[in-house]
Amino acid sequence: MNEDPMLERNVASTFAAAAPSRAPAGLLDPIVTSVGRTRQRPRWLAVLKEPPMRHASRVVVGSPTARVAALVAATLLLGLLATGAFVAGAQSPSPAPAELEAAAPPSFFTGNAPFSGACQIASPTTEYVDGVTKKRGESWVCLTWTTDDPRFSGVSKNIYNTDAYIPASGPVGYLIAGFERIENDAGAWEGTWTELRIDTFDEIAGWFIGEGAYDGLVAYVIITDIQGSASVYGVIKPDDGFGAPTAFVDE
Amino acid sequence: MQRDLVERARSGDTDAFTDLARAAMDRLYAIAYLILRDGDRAQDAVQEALVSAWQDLRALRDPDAWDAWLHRLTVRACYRGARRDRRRTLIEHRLASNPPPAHSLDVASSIAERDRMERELGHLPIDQRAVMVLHFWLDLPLTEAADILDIPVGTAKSRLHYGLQALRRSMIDEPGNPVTLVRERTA
Repeated sequence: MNEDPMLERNVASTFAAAAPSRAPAGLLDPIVTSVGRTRQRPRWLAVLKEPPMRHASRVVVGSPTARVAALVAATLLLGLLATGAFVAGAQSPSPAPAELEAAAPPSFFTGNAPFSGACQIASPTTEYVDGVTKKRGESWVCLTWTTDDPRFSGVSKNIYNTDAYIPASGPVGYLIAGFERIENDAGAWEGTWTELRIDTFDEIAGWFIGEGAYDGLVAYVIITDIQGSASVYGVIKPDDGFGAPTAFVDE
Repeated sequence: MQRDLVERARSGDTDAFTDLARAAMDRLYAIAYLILRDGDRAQDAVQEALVSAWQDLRALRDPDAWDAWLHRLTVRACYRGARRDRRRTLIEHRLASNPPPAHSLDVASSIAERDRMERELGHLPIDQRAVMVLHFWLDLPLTEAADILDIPVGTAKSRLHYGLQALRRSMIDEPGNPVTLVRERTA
């Protein structure tokens, strides 16, 4: 710039004198703790969230096109939803609560189970084997399920194993398998689930068995948009032995 | 070495990230301190920047841009911190505007000059101070500072120009310059 070299030198020397030479001791510890408790965002979400950065005319962080595309997609989706809601509202009035109750059982429900990321109780062991990051025994509490069926609402504790394949380019893939217990005042649900992530696709599905007031019931649950709204779709039904056949029947 | 650590951290290796954070922390703290002029808020900004870096590391396409990206996250965290504490900052500025501790006539004028310069730098808007810290302390070219601040180069130049102009004016006009101070105190 050099509009006033003397002044610029003074500014530089003032900064040099005022700048602390070291960060305070102990600053690293809370950062390491936070990092250990915080999940990295999947690449698609990080790219959408982080403003693009250019360096020497190259995009080195984020993606300008992805952000614009996401904005356009979100606008279109909102428009479609608004139109759909208007049309549905005009054509079919909502059933009365009594009619909904008469439709049970089985009882279908929806809700949310966002990952709070605040209450890790066990850090995983991590190994890197043949391009796969293997995390074992990651465990969290205080993930809250809120659904329109109070039976399948409550606070959960889960533990899971992860195999993550994150190549330098191309789609990232995760396979995660977990064990979870959801408790409320009347009883609990315990079961296993499996999560599959391939880039932007991310879903969990699992079976749960009821305890306490829910003894004799089972629930099948799917969670979509896990890093975002974590929308829950599920069904509670009597444990009547329903399941997949175990073999083909000879004709 | 750093590139390798960034790649490992990007695939979820917390130990690699800890090494990267340890290596960058002193520099980031100094940047935040110079921009915010407050040790506590500088610590908060560094912590926020590094945790953001961990969360969004997969958005970093080029591991060689790690340092530049960290600088950007730190400056952004400083802006957020300054916005949160705007009220407190105003009070501090008012306090800082009071005459500094008395320097006797035999104190080297360069020290008084530096004190005054430091005080005046603190009176600049944070966006002008950020450009100055990146350009004069980190010694980055203005094009690179503009990339970090996510602003056009022209904007970076004008912020620097107006910042220097304000400093020049205040160093001449400010009633707290050493001569005036000494007069006041010996009157």
